[in-house]
Amino acid sequence: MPAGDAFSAHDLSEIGREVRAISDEAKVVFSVLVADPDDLGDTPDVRALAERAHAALGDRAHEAVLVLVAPNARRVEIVTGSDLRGRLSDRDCALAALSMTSSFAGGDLTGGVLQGVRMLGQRTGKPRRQPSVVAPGRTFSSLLRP
Amino acid sequence: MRARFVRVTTALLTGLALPFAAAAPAWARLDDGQAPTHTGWVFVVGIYVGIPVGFFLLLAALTYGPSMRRRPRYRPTRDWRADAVWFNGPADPEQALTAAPTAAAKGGGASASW
Repeated sequence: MPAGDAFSAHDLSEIGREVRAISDEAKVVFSVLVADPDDLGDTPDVRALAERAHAALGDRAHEAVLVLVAPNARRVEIVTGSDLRGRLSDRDCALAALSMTSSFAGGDLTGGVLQGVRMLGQRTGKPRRQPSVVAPGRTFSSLLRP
Repeated sequence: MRARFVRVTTALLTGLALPFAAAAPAWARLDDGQAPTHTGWVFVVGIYVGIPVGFFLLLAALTYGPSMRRRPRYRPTRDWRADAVWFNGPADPEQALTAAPTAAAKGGGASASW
């Protein structure tokens, strides 16, 4: 197999567009990394690479979902941010990962990535209401009462 | 690649030779008493070679075209060497990965293999 890109230019733009659109819609940062551990530095383990890549998202990491696809190791890893605890369950992540692997096993990298991210986007709940800035811990209606 | 070359060459030569074999009776001298109508050799070659070869080439193009255009695709059982791709990732992946904080902001996740 010759070296090169895993995706055609068309696939690249389609996945990029879709991932950003789903991120905007779900109010979550979805990030998809297609790489094997030996491609990137000295991280030997797929899970370790996924967690490191998730941390590499910086300020966005707390509300980010990182999907790592390792074609040679034949593994999918999904890491969710700490702020997403109530919004995206591990069970939903596992379902998305399973659906991705069934596409990958058929040789369809692009379709699997798209399907997995769409599924994650659909399963992500709405963001929790931000606590009041004016009076933390109090709802608006309680402020009206004397 | 070599086997494919042999295949394609054999198919081409067969396709070229068959019309000549089929057209051989057309060159036989008529002796039924009728005066033969005059047909130039360009016309004969055009009909008995040009059309079959054209048809063969069309079929060959339709058969081989799509697979020649397609890029090498990922196959689960084969080794795949490709550059890493990061969608919606940090602006500078290399630098971000090396500078990634160890105190991870991870909440949960899942994994699967195929």
